Amino acid sequence: MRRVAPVLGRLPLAWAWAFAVAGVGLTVSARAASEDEAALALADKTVTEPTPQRTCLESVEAAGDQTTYSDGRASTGGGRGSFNVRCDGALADGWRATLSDRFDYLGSRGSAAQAVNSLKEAYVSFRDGGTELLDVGRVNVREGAGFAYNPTDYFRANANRTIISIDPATLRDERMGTLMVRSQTLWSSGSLTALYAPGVNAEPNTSTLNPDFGATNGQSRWMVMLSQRLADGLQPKVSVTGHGNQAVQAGVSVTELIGRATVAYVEWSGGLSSRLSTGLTYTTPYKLSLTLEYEYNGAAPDARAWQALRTGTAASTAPATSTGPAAGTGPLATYVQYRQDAAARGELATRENGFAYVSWDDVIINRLSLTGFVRFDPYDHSRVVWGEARYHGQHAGIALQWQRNSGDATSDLAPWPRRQSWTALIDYYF
Amino acid sequence: MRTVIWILTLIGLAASATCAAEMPDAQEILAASDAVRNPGKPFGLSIVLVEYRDSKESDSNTLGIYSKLDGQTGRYRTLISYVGPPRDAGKLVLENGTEMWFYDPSSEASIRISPQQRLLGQASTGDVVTVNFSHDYHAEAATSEDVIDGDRTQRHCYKLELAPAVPDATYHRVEMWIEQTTSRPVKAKFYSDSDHLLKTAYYRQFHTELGSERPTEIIIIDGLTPSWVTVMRYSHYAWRDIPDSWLQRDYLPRFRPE
Repeated sequence: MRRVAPVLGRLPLAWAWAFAVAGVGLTVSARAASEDEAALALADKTVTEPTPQRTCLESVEAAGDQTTYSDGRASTGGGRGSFNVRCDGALADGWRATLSDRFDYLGSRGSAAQAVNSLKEAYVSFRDGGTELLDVGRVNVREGAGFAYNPTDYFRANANRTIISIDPATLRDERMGTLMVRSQTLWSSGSLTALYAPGVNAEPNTSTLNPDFGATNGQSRWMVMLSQRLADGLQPKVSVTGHGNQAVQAGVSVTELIGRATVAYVEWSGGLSSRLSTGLTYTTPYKLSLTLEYEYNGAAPDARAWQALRTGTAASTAPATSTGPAAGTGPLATYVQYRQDAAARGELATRENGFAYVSWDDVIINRLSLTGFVRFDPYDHSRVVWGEARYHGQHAGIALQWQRNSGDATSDLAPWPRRQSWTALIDYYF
Repeated sequence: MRTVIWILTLIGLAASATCAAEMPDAQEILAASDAVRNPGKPFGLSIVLVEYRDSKESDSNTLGIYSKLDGQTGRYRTLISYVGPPRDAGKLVLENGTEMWFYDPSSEASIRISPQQRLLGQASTGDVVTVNFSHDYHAEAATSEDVIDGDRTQRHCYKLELAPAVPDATYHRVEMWIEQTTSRPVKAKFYSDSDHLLKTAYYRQFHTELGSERPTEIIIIDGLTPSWVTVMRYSHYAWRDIPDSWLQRDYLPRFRPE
């Protein structure tokens, strides 16, 4: 009895607990049913109509910016209006045509306005059965797994007529292709591509409507690319390219998935010199992605050579890749020319850079995204930080961009007196 | 007394055998349900996604889907083509198991993405691609249960408990209700590694598409925030000739929607 009595004593409590649990269960179940019913009622009222496919897509953009300087001069403002169009349509059975063009009208306080047209792509394609393809015209051949630096992206030099943002994604979007003939054969686990880009006898041309083949086709070039799946999820791309009497360059680009949330990549090019871009992108369940990248350019000056170049103390250390006449004279003429040349070729100015990129979609509200990156030079400790907040609707969008360069006057990432800028944008997709 | 025990034992065995015969194999039930959702030959369709937050429409997309069963892996390979809104038109996602590529025509760049990267508002890529649950999951148990479907009608269903059968299965656990007489999927609940409810899906609006009655509307309710709702409408089903050479990264710049 002494053992039974406490149990009996607890029985009312046990019953109360059981009723409470059952009550909570029923409440939760009822709430879930109510939430499901609300969702189904929304679906009942939903009216949908699929958007039809379109041959051409057009967009316009307007931007205003304000820039401040470190040398005491007054801040400056500017503006830009842009029109973008991309068309892709069938011409006849097996034949297609692609056109992509951008027109920018650029103005800044105190200087004349400038109009620049960038013919990004214009080519016709022929396909035989879907697996044999031939393209003729200006084609944007963009290669490489790297996020912000692509050693195997051999056709990026002089491809941007206007720089509207230093965001790597925008630079890629707005660049011009190269005049070429390209053939490609596809099979179930890979492809083989061969292309020839003829050199045109013309200098780069800055007039508004000039297609500027002199910039993108300054010399004849060829390239062969092979892509083959070796295992599940492993499909490296190997490329070989050359031009004139220059040594052949070879490159390889490969990606690998780590777990469910991380993509690692390596991109390497060798021949004249070794170049490397490697990193990883990690994505959280909340649409936040972080990319970390290490970049290496064996043709660029190392720490000691860079110090000599930027202080004008060793003109003879100027890299062999620096071409053309020196811009002006004086101890920094070689430095200035080298900077211009490296920027035009889309190359790192120094041997190593670090890069981190963050993007976060649907922040707090749908369609609001935050993006930013920092690039860092370990030799002179300069850096550039860029950020953007963008909200976009079905057609219209607004964005605010900020950029800040930190470093001394001849550093890698803050070479000019420009220190900080703000840009406000509005765009509309028709 | 011994005779009575024997008789009772035999009756018990006969009853169990009858029950086993009435309850089909859980994996077969799941496979039959897959066949209702997924055509057996390469096909294409359109999906309109409409998202709601707190009963207000917050986003919408139109996608073209091209799917083909990979005979070697038993999984579907899917190409997702963005048709609208105009800002996203022309973008592509190629899904081949956990290998996923995102292509943007503006840059002509194909970027490898992880399965965790979501490109469609509240919906995950896994919600729009064609999935063979009977390949990715093992149905551990089948019980009978009456459940209210998306049209508020009571359906006599098999309730299946699904556990991952492959290491890269998207969900840690799935509960699925399948109508007993038609093998139609009625409702499903998807759970995370920590066994939290990620989403609830209702399958409804069954119409004849490509020779079978298939669901043409899926309603997805967020598990954490039930006021986040995605309505997915399927239309324009068609058989498509999809060569294997199309379903790889290198074809993405070449793809043109039909």
